[in-house]
Amino acid sequence: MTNSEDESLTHRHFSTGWWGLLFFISMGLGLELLHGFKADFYLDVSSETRRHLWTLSHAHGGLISLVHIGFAATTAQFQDWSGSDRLWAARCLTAALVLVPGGFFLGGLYIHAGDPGLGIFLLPPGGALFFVGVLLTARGVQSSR
Amino acid sequence: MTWGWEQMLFLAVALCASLIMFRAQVESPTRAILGSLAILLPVLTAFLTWSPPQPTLAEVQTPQKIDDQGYVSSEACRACHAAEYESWYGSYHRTMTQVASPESIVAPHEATELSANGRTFKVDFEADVMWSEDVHPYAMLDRLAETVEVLPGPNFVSAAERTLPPNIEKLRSQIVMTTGSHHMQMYWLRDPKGAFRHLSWVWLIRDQRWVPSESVYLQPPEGVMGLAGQWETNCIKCHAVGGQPHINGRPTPMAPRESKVGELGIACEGCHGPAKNHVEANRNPLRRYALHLSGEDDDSIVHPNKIASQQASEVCGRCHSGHKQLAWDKQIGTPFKPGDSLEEYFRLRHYDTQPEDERTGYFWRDGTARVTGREYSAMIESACYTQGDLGCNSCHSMHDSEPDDQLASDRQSNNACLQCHPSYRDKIAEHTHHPEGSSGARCYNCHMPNTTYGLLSMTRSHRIDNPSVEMSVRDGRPNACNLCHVDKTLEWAGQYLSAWYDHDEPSLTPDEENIPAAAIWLLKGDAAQRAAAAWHMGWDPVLDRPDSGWQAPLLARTLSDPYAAVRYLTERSLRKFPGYEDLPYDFVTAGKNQSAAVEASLEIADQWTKQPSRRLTQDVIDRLHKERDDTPISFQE
Repeated sequence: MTNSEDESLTHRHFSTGWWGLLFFISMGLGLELLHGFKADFYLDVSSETRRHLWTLSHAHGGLISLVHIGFAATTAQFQDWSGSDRLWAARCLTAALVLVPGGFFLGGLYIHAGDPGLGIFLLPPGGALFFVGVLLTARGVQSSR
Repeated sequence: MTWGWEQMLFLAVALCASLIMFRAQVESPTRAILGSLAILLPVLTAFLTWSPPQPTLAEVQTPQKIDDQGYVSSEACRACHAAEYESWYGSYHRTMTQVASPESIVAPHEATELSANGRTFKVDFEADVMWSEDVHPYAMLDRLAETVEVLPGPNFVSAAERTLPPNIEKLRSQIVMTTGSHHMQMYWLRDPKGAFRHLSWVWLIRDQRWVPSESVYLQPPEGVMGLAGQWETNCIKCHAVGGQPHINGRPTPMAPRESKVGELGIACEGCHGPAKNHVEANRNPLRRYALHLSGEDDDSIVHPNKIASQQASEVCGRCHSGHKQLAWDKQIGTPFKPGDSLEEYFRLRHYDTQPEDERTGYFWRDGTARVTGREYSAMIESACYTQGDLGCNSCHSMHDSEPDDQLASDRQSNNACLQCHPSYRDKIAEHTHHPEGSSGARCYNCHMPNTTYGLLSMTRSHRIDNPSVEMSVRDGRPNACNLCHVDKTLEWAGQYLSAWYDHDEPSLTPDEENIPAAAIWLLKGDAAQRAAAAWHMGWDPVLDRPDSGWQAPLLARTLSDPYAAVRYLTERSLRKFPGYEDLPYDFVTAGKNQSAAVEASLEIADQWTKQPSRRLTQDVIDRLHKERDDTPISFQE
């Protein structure tokens, strides 16, 4: 991988991380507003699952955004880590940023007798990709100097 | 304290924390040891002094949980059905029977001593526990067995109780259970043989006072419900989920028993049936999502809104009907579960099949139920049910309603009827001949008048039918027209019904032609008619009428009625009229030391009758009063 590709990857993940963080912070503000205006569809007893899932979406989105920033810093710090592992780690983390908070959010959109909606099924692959992304990064960092 | 995984893990974590600290401070052993002690001492102190919360004596003494019928309790339902749980939690169904606690006891938490009807009664509180001193239930039962004539109906005994010997044995006992939370609350103690006996005094919530329990039922003055009232043979059938009496030996009042319930009060499984299979089946997320996505009904539980309307109504009818249980077992109670056919396990009481001496306790002479708690029995006599698809859920909702009456949120008005009779929506005034929006234009005021007695009040008849003067004359059931127009005669009502709805004009006696029907029912009627008339004379729509007020003198005459329940309804209505607000009158003791108060009320009444608006002469009032129908009536609430 060339230096420009390295820089591009680092830049891309810094950018993804910070924009993601901004997005999920905004989402957190939105959730606070729902509390502030006592929105029925968010605060009713019947919406307990929705409230829980959207809070998880906000928290996981923020966390994975931070991981992206950390990943970008890692690629900048450990420039001898390259190859397909790094590429796959980047892809896995990017997919996880969509699937994990997206799964929680969509799962909370429709509630079936306390069960999350169909969107929750995005979560297991998202979680698995997140796990793989972090694993590949940890291995890459360990093997580099 | 017992040692388990929780305790060992707790201690292990505390030890690890102190070891880590010790290791970090290895250069300075004294500081390390002090630091470790600083962590360990408070942890050990907390550990040694902590003990899990113990159940209260009331919790131990109340019926224990059935463990073999598949009941899981409302707490298990809450996890997935939080909204339904919350709506149920706010209902009076939930609080029908509760373990006695500071939260569930609505009577003031203060020492009280009262005396009436020949017996004294005390309650007091020690550390939030309610204690009572009342006649010992065994002494009462012995007394009944020796001296008392048993009147028709369960638990009713004669006036001998009022002459209990002054030295009759008393029992000081902890109150372990409560019944009711809406209109009145009863309190239960547990006798040495395990039977629950209710106190002989009841707390009236609306009036914020204690009264002897015999005062709250519509029953003859010689009929007294005392401590013989038993949970296991009566209340458990409907005031708990899946109640099992577990009476050992012959089911006599003295037989030992150890009752069990699925849950106290009327909880989720009271209407949906035992939910163990449902809970276990739905642990499988694939099953749940298959049901969510396919839209199919879950057959692992009964859902009254998803079964046939009449079958769903049988779920309510299991308790809201007059019936005899065909398969009642002194050990397990009734095998009926929601979804079962009611007639398989219960024989509904009908006027025609009821023994003659028990009819008056349940029905008007036209077969309409007139006691509260029999709403299903009344509803199934309605054309809306027999010829239509009416069911309890047509108007009521358990999860989308206010606790009072539990009418569905969109069925509070004429909408309840218009859902099946939409053609009347645009011609309410034309059909009712009353201005739209007035009380006379409300469907249920004419088709479901308040002719059902219960809980010291009158409630709506659930037999939906048309007002009929002929029915009032023939069967004694007050008609809707004259219950609102209390100053009008049966002849007047008959003429309007004839002109408006082509009713035949009935043949009437001179009194029925000339004297307001409500006055006849109040002064001359039987106890049920007197109760209905007394209540309606103080009914808000009646009081709102411009010519209201003439009825006060009539009510004053009824303050000395022999039936305590009639006196109660009379007093409540009368106090709404000027001059009577502060009358020193007590319906419980009226007729004894209250004669002065009754006299005072009659003096005020005299002032009323001298007004030009009077409707009846004193002679007529006296004559009707003397002709009062004193046929004994005991309502089986």
